[in-house]
Amino acid sequence: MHALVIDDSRAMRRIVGGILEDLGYEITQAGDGQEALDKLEAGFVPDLACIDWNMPVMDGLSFVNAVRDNPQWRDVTLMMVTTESEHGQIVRALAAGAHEYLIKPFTPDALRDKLSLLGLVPVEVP
Amino acid sequence: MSELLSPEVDGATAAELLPEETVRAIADEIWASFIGEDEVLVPLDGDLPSETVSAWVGIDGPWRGRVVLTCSTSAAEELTRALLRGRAPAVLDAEDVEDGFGELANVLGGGLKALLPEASSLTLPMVGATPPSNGTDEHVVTSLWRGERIDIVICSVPLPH
Repeated sequence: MHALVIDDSRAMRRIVGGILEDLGYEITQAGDGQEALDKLEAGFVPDLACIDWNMPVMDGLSFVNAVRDNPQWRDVTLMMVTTESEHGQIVRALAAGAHEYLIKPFTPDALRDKLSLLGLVPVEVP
Repeated sequence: MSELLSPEVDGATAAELLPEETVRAIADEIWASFIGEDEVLVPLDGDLPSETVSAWVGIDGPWRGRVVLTCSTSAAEELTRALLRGRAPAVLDAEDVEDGFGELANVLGGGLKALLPEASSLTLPMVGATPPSNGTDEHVVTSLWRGERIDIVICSVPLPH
C-alpha cells in the first residue's frame, strides 16, 4: 500500500511516514497541499493520504476539497493529522470528505488504531 | 474594537484565558505523546542560559495572543531528537532543529487554542533567537526537562495601530 504524507514540517513527515513504514506502507512526502495535488495530477494515486491542516501555499482542507472534486481520486482515503482540535474544524474536514481525523499530539498506537478502523493496516504488527 | 470581542475574552489577560494548570496539562500531554512516555516536565525553576532559542505561534481570533517555547539551543536539539525518536539522523542540522522545535510550538499552540472560548486560527510556527517584543500581560510557565529549563510564555498581542 502507498501513503502520501502531507505536512510542512519535515519532522512530522518523518514521524508519520516512519510509523506507516513500520506498518508496511511505501511513503511519498509532500510539503504542502499544492505539492501533493501536483503528485496526484501527475498520476500518483495513493491508498492513503495523511494531511496536515495548516500549511503554506495550500492548506489541508483545500487539498481535501480538491481531491473530492475529482472522481478519479475517489478511492484515496483521506485522514487529517493536525493540531486543529475544535469540534467545528473536525466537522468541516469530515464534511469536505476526510474519512478520519487524528489530532496532534498522537501516539503511534493512536495512528495505527485509526488505520485499523479504516481497514488500512496492511501487516499485523505485534 | 471592544464590540468585536466576545464577553469571555473582553479584557481577559493571557493568564486568565490560559491559566498555568491548563498550560501544564497540555504540555504534559504533548511531552508524553511526542517526546516519550516517561518524559516529564517538572514544575520547577532553573537557570535559563544566555543563549536560547524560541519557537512561537500566534493565535488570532476574539483574543490575539502568542505562545512561545524557549530553552537552550542544546535542549531544543535534544527535544528534536526525542521527537524524531529512532528516525532522527545521526547529525541534526540547524534546519532539523528549527523544524522540530517549531512543530512542538505548533502543537502546543494548537492545543491551547482549542481551549479558548471561541474559534481562532493559528499562524505557522516561527523560530528564532527572540520572539517579537510586542506582547503584553506575559505569563511564564517554567519547567525543567532533563535538568534544562523550558519556558512556555503566553502573551496577548495588541492589534497594530
